[in-house]
Amino acid sequence: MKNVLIIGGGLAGCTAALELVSNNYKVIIAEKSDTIGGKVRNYGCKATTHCNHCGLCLIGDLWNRVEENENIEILRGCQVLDVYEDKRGFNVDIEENRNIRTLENIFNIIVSIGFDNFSSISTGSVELENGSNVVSGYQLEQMLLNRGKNQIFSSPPKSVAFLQCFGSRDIQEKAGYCSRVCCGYSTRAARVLKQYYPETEIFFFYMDLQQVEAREYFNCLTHEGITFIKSRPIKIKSKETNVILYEKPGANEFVEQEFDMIICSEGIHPSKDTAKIAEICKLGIDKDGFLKVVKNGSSTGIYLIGCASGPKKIEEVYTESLQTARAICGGII
Amino acid sequence: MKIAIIGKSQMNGYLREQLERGDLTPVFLDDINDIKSFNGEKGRFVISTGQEQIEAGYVIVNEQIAFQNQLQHVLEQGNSVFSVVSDQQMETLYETKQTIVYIQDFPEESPDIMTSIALDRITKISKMKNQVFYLSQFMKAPGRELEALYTEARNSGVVFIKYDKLSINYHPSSGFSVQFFDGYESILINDCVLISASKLMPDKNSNQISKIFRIRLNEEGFIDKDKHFLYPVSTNRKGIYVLDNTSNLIDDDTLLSTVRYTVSEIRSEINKGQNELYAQVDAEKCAFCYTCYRICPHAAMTPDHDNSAMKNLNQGCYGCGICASVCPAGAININNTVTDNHLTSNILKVFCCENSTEIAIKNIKMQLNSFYDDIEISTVSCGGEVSAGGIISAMQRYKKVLVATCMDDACRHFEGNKRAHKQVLRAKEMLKAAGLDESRVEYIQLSHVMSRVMSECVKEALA
Repeated sequence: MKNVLIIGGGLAGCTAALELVSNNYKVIIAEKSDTIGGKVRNYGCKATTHCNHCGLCLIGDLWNRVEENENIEILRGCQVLDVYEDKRGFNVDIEENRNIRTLENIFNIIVSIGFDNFSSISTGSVELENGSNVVSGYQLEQMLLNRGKNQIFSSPPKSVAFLQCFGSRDIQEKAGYCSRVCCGYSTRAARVLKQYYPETEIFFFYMDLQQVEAREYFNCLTHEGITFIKSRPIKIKSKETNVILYEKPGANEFVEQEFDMIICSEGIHPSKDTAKIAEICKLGIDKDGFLKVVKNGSSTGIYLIGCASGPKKIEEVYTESLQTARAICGGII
Repeated sequence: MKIAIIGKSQMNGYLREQLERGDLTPVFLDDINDIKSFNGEKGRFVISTGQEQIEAGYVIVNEQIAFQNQLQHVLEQGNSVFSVVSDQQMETLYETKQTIVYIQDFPEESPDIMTSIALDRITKISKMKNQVFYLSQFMKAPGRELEALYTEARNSGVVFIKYDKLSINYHPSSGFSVQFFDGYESILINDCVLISASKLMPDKNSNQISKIFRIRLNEEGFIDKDKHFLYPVSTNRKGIYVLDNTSNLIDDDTLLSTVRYTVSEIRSEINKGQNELYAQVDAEKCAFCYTCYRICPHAAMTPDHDNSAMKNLNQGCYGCGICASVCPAGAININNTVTDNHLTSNILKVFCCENSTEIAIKNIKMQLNSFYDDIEISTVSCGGEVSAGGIISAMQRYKKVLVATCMDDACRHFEGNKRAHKQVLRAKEMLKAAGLDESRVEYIQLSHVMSRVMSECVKEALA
């Protein structure tokens, strides 16, 4: 049986893994943390009284199925150190809980190292003091995942501000690109908040808005009680309360407005391991700092999937991963 | 194996190439109206035109989505407006000396693909040294290259303005004037040429396509692939795929990779082998009422006139069980092996959909602890499999029944979950009529990651 090594056990890596084993391949997943699932395992459903198409359902029972599959070996706490080739295939040096060993006869490698959140990278940004009730998009996802029937937060917030494009679309922050998913996840999350807390005032501070669904999406949200303010906050003061200082559009003045809760809709940024993996796996790095293929996977034997190569939506990662796994099995891309 | 491709498309050449690489033979049928009948199932479709019969394993429909100029119908006859999707019209503007105004999102939000198309076309015009204004309410871009397109447009002199309110007037002597409010002040641009965005219109043959192939259309009349589980090319029917041509207008390889994905899906389906989970109709009991034929979300029933009964198309069937639960003659059963989990409890029976609530309840096994022994979980392929009769007979053993299905719009069989809800309401009526407590049965809809909500609902049901 042929062995495929998958570097990174998140959505992309696990989707590819299951497709490979269903075609009689054996898979080794090298995961640097102690659980598989990446970021997506911690995302919450964005349904209100109906599905809001966030794509999470595509995953289904993925994590359990990967963990229980006898042809998938999961190496936890595992870092890849080097990759080299001989006649029989790839040999990969790995470090697993302080032990260094070599995986031999690897037929193909899939790189799916995923991405980092802005909050885990400090690049210097809009002035943000650590305060009460300032949460990142990722933290909000986890709260939505763990929500009860009638409760998301410990107490209902009177007002919530979403800060869009947080850490994105700003060359100074080395993220001069659109992360594509934040408008989607944050407007959907806002709908859930409105469902649980109908009295809460919700404000969106934005520059541009991606269309999330066809047909009048933003007009619908406005009718549901979400206020859109086209302004990028200058300063956020959070000590006992959160106050946002911004230029009010159409008013030529600066305004300070208080909010119970601030949610920083952070985007998708290149993983910290990008440079290291690029060197080990002979991949390139694009102008935005994400991995890119230099030569096609079918000729090098090393494939790249998921957000490691740039911001993608859940359904896009899912289909790309299936496609790549099938290409490895069938030899046709 | 032959793959039938319906409708013309600029992608057909590439499609042929990809299919032939995979040892599949494309058969092109340019005009849907040539098709007189379509029968069979995934792996064995039969298409009859006037002249011939074609046996194809799979079908790819090229959905020819049309563009409709959004501004044209708000203006009077004779005042012509240019269409951003027409390359020919855009090129005629290279030589104009007038100010050019492109308007998007008026009178209603434009489709997201307009931004990519417009940025490309407007930039080209702007590079010819024309003054171009780009008016929009929302900038949207489906692809990754938004920033690069934006930058190039700005560098060439395009002026981007977000407007809140807008009105257009026409003066025979001076052309169009556009007045709008940008959030700060009211601005008037006189004597300009207008370019309009377009909205998307369904394929003019969409009703015929839907009828012949028995595939669903969405509310707007487009072939339904809106649901997340249909992304990017699937329809409600196994073996039939749909490619939409609109992204042909932008220069990226999304459409190429979608074509490759479609071919890989087909090959994957071929490699899967025979479907083992399907409905079986007892021809003796069947009243040939056509209920299951009409109700099947996947068009997997076909009339067998020789036996005056319905027949299931096994390869197109998902085993969702909706047909079995609606059959008035009780003539259908699904050949699945029902596994009941413990049979030690007599307190609460939970019907769980395998796509959502079964996963949610598995994940709370530890939190439920001792409560877990009080629950018996019955997994169903779809909520639609649950019937009022089934609920009432479960109550002979269990004090309470909880029916837990997927959310509206997330049901992979489209309306299975709503049917389950109806059946629960019917069961409640039956309980009430019998003088029993109608709260002995409850209905909830959840997704697979709403474990805590599931846990609260189960605890409530056990209380």
